[in-house]
Amino acid sequence: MSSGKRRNPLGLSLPPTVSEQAEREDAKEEEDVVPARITIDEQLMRLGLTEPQKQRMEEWVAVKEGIAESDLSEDFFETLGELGHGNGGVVNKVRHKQRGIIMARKLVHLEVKPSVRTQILKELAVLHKCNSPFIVGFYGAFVDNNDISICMEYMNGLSLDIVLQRMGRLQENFVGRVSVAVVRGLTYLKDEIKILHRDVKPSNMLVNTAGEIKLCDFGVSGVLVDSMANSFVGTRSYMAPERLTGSQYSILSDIWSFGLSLIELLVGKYPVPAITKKEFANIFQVPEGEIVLADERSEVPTYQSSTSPASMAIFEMLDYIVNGPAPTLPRNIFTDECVDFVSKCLKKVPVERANLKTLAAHPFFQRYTQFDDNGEFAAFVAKTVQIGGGN
Amino acid sequence: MSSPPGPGGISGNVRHQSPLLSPCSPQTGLPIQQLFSGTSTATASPILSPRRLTNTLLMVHLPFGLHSKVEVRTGETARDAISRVLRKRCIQPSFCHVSSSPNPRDERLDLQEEMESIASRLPKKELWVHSEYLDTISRIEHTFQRKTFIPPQTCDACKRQMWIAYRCEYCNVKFHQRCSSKIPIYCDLLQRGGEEIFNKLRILCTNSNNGQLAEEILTKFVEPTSPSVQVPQHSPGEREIQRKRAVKRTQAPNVASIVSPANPSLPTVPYPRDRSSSAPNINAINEENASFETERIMADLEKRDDVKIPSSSRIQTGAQRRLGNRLQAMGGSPCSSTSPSSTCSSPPAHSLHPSHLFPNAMPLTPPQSAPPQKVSIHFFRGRSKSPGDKLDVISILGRPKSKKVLEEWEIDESQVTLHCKVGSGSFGTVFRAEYFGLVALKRLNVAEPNLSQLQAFKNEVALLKKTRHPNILNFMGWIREPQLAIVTQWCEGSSLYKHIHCIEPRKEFELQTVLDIFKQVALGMNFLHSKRIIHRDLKSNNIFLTDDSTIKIGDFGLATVKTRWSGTQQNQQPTGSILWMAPEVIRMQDQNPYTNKSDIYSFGVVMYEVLSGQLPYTNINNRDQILFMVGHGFLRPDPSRIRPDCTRALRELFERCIKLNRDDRPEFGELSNSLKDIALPKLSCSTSMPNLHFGGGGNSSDLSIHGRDDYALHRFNDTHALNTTHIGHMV
Repeated sequence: MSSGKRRNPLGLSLPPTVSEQAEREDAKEEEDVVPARITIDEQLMRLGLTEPQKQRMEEWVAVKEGIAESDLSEDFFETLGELGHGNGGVVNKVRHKQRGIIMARKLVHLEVKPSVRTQILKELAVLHKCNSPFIVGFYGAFVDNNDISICMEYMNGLSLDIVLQRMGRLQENFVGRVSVAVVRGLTYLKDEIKILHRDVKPSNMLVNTAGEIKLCDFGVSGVLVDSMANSFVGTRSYMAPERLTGSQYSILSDIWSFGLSLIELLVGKYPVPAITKKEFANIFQVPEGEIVLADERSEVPTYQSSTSPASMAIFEMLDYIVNGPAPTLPRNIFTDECVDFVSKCLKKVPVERANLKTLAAHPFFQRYTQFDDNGEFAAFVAKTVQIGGGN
Repeated sequence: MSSPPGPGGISGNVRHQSPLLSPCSPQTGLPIQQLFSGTSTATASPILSPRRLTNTLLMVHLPFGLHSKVEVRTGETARDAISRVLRKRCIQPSFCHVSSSPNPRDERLDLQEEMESIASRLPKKELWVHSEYLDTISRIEHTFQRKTFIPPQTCDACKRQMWIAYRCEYCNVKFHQRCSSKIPIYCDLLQRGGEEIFNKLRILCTNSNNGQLAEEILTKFVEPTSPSVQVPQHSPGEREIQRKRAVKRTQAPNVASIVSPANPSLPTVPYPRDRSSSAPNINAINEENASFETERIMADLEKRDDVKIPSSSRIQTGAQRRLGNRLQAMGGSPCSSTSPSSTCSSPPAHSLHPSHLFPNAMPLTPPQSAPPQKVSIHFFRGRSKSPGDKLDVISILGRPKSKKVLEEWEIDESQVTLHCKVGSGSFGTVFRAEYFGLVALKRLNVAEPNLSQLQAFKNEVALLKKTRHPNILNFMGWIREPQLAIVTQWCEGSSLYKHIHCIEPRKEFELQTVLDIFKQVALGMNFLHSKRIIHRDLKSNNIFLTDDSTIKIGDFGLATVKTRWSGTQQNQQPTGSILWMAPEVIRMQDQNPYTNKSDIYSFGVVMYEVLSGQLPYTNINNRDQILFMVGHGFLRPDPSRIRPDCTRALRELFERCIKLNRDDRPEFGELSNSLKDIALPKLSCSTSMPNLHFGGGGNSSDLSIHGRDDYALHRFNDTHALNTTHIGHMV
């Protein structure tokens, strides 16, 4: 795979605000599997999952319990191929030689004090507690030769940014499914683990041929997030304006990133700078006159990049996010519910933005919560995998 | 690139654009020989029946570093398709063979096969067109580098003083740009390796039925008394005209002057068009001359040799036409020939300029300043005694000569033993390795460099090998395969970054040590800037602290590697570690924000790290936020975190380095001086007399902590201390 576009497909980047209490408790639970089991059952009950979802979670828990912390070390893994790499490090598809389990292993190279590394491992242990059908499973983490390895559930459909690369864009009903999964995943992280995601973007949404959609790369370890700020320049940003300017931020910043990702999934184009009517007309093959932008916008100003027309330098992009108009969708190409849902996520002022509760009550969300597509999405993912030659 | 010649022969315009091939006569409809024999342009009418296979393009690597995408058309044979591409570029197909790997010795493809079936077999959709003949020919060109001579030297042509001029990397001929028409046409390297090139040419000729004739010509050429060896005399007017033309051409895409970097047997030719070069390509100048002189001499030879001019080329006029035939005969394809006649073919005739083959014909004597080691028994590659000189190495090891030919400063990967990974940066992964001693090997994060990128890379390498300074990590060579890598001196000790941010428990530097570190970094950087090398990625990770407290700066230059390579076009994205990036580099609003001043800013951040013991902006954990705020000037390293014992002068210096407006920042020269002037409260006298326990080992580590001005002084102190010790003993 080419490296340039796949920044951080599975890359974890994790935030600092971790409920310290939860963390301590968890560290204890770690040593004792039985109480952990109980919490999982309780959790699953509370989440109100469907029968098949529950079943899959139980299967997962069984597999996971087969892997002890001591089973995770460099020697046990056989690398099968690279799934992607980006700022955080490399993600490889690996096979656990003894158990024969396929995992995704993310290698994070960090030059930090040994004590910091230990702290990160400790904080990552919170991930053991994350058992949700909308969150990528975690087998464990270990340090080898100064690199931190994070072993995760392997999702055979890869991340949505790769799906986008292969398929151009996603149908609205698929995006509906993604919305439900992401909102529920974020809700789970917020309510159960008490953390924000902090890095919502298509490359952190993974899919598989069972039709599941899961979030990865969220900020469990504050120290890890801090350490990763010393990194290299990226090419795109999904950060909310208030995060860039250094104002206070909350779950609403994740909602912005989510809204931005939704537009990208629906249109197949990263929406900064704002997509013009003409571009929409080209993408959807309709006359330009028929394009009506949401939020009563007549037209977005055509953006003239100061460097090159083809690519916008990262700084200009950030500046546009803060000072430019919020991205928007055209009206009559998508359903009104969909357009409204996305608009509510992409308010530049955080207080105007919808929160997770409002989104979960939104008709667009409601439409897809109980919606059974008869495996249409799973088939779509399978097709995507085929295009990539299997992975 | 050159436009396809019309069926009526080649226009002057086309010749103009591809000077190396200027005397050629690429005509469509020519009988194509040897491997390409049997082609009939009449049947190849792909334009008429192009049943397009969507998106099936084959990348074809051509000689001279050219490449082309060939559309796979149903029913077209590889011969037709590739001949078309070659002819478009005035390369005679008969000199070439095709294989599916970059190694010219690999199995050749059957050109009768249809492109479609070839394409279906190739997973990477790439083909290589090789030509031993063209490779041989193109090796005898100069490799010019723009150079500033301090102190000034005399021009080899006009003998007058010059400061900024050109020099051939290999034969060392140096000259004013305006004198370019008066310098030897080919690298005088041939004087040394001449015999080999003749042999090579002879071998190339053996399969051709004109081999005898070719040999005859060759023999004639080696005879110094031959009448044709006289230095061609041109009237000044003629010269002037040629020069003008040549200069004009340098602006046009000069396909022929770019030599294939994909082919390991080819030498470096500097300055491809598209990137990272400040000097114009002046190869074209000598090519122009070359073709002219070749023409003249060949015409001379023509009178005495009975060469049949094929009818196909008769319509074309002038000596150049005949020349093409002649040279074709000389340099017949290495491929086995089935074609009985060597009709009009078009080698890059001027490359075989006779004056080349007669060492004595050089209009100028080789420069006296040529260092003796440049005279090497090794053909072509014996140009330097660099560690990358594989031929030398091989002979030392007594191994059979490998077929692989390495370029200057290129190192064969198989001679390097990797030990362990020691770090990874934005541009690559660094390994500790063994290459006749410990070295650092940096594998670059570039998947498949394209030809121009590789060329740009080599140009930068050429720059690096000249930089030697006590505070600079010496460059040792580069590796092409399996992954582009550079090899530098190994530096025992750790990076400043590790000292400050990783080693636990952290050892606080003495303020005197801090000052000493700054001085050395400033010296090294000042040196780099004096060589016009902008570091572009100065940070504490790239500053090494050796065990004897000497500072070494690594990872400098290499703009190509530090630019995001996206296809062929260079992206306007800053790359590197954000914390050390100057605001103007983050903004990327200028065409080139990397300047001496952006390096100064990075140095300011390093000062902050050392003086505060931490990275900047530890309270912000979001890199996009850092980019946004620093780019706007809303955020800068917090001076209040600097250690309290830091003197005011030092703090002010730091604050000047990180000024938002780059014009407000000092230069490294000024910085060095200011650092010298900073006075610290003197440490007690006893600690500054470190050599009482001196045991003859010359250990300078004790001494080095104390304010020395630079490395030289350090050494001076060292010997001075030694003397004192002796005196002490005597007393």
